[in-house]
Amino acid sequence: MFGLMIKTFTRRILVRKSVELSDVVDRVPLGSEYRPIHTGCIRILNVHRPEMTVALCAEAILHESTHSFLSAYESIHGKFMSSEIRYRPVSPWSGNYIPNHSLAHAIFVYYALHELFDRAIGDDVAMDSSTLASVRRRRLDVAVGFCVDRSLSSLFFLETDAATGFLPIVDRMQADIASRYMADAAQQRRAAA
Amino acid sequence: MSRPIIVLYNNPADGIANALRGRPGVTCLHLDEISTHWKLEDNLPPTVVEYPAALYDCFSGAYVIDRIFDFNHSEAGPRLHAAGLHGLWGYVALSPLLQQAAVLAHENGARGVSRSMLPLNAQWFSLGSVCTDITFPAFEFGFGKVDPDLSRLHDAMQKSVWSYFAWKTESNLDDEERDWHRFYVDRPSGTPVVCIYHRDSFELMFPKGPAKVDTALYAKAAAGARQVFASEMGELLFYERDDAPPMFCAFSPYMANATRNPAFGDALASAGGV
Repeated sequence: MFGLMIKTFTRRILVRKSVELSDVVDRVPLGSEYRPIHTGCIRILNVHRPEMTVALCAEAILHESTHSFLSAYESIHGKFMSSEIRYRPVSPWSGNYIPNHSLAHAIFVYYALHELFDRAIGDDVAMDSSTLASVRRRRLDVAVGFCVDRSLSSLFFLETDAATGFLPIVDRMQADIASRYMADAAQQRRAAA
Repeated sequence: MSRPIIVLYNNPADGIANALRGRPGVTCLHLDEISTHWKLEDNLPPTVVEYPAALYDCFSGAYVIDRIFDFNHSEAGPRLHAAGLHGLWGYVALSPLLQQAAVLAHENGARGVSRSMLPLNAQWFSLGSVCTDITFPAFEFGFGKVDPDLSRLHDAMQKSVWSYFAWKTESNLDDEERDWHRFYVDRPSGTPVVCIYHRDSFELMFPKGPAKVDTALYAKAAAGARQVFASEMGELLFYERDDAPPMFCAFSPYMANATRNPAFGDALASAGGV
């Protein structure tokens, strides 16, 4: 499913380089990005370096391709919500205040990444022990944002309504991930919050 | 019959814990007494934590005043960090105990995730949704390194969105906030009024001298704050100005003003567990 989504909605990957293979640096910048004005194009930084492992690269491709898919969807069906940035919710994952629309995308992206990590671990994809440990750790990093004590749909500060049906989808994604980590009582409390 | 009160705290200087410690029906628990039960190993989420039955019993049916606004002054933060776990897992791990409470004083969660600790302009948005007869500071928010247009502000000051009660000069800006997504407000004028509420009672403090107030309006604001900030207690900073509705500047769950008055502990102990 992810392969099909990536092939369909990511038509171009721009590979960028900020350090040479031979450069000695304290920390190699590894990153990826997607610009809404370039639908179908994603960018990944320093893939030529050994620090960009297969697991990190897979995460980057799925992360940005999910943005690409969501933008394509929004270009046809309308945006999930306004891009207004005066009131910004706090992302449970980063702790940063970000635009409502960015949080909307982030929830889908983290849901997709959790699925990727879950399947990689569950399907016994060939990984050495250290890679497996880091994928498990990343899965926990992603999962925690879905396990907070309030519904993710209540995080938004919307001056105008979100697209019909959008907020319930957010809570369904949260319930799906949280159910794998938490007791029923905790989920019911959050759903009521 | 009065409910038992549990104060869960991490800072040894916590005003509420220190005001209530030793009183009948009150148990003060340091975060480390809870977090010692977290198993942080082998990539297990701390949601698998099993607390002793006595700890569940302690929280069960109590009025729980959860004062874990961060993980400073405890081993919880360093232990989560050492295990490579996101700090939010600490709040998730507290959740099974906090769910036992009959009444929870504040919403569980990290800054910005808990409604009890929202960024300033998110507070204005939230309280504005239930209180239409108060005003809020004008503000401008930059994006990234791009500064906002400040021409609409009369007396602009750069503020941290997390600094609730510093409005003359801002000393809580960290480097990131100073340079990234810069947040500016119109410095408020008038006479400051601090509205301290606990459940459905409130009192007003006048730190810079008296001001003429409409107490009904403050009662409404306190009730609104209790709802939108998911907090059974809190402090609201307003500025009263001549011929204008009061301006709400910030909500704080820290209770720094209230706990300077020894009588607050008495009132909390007698009313809190009811």
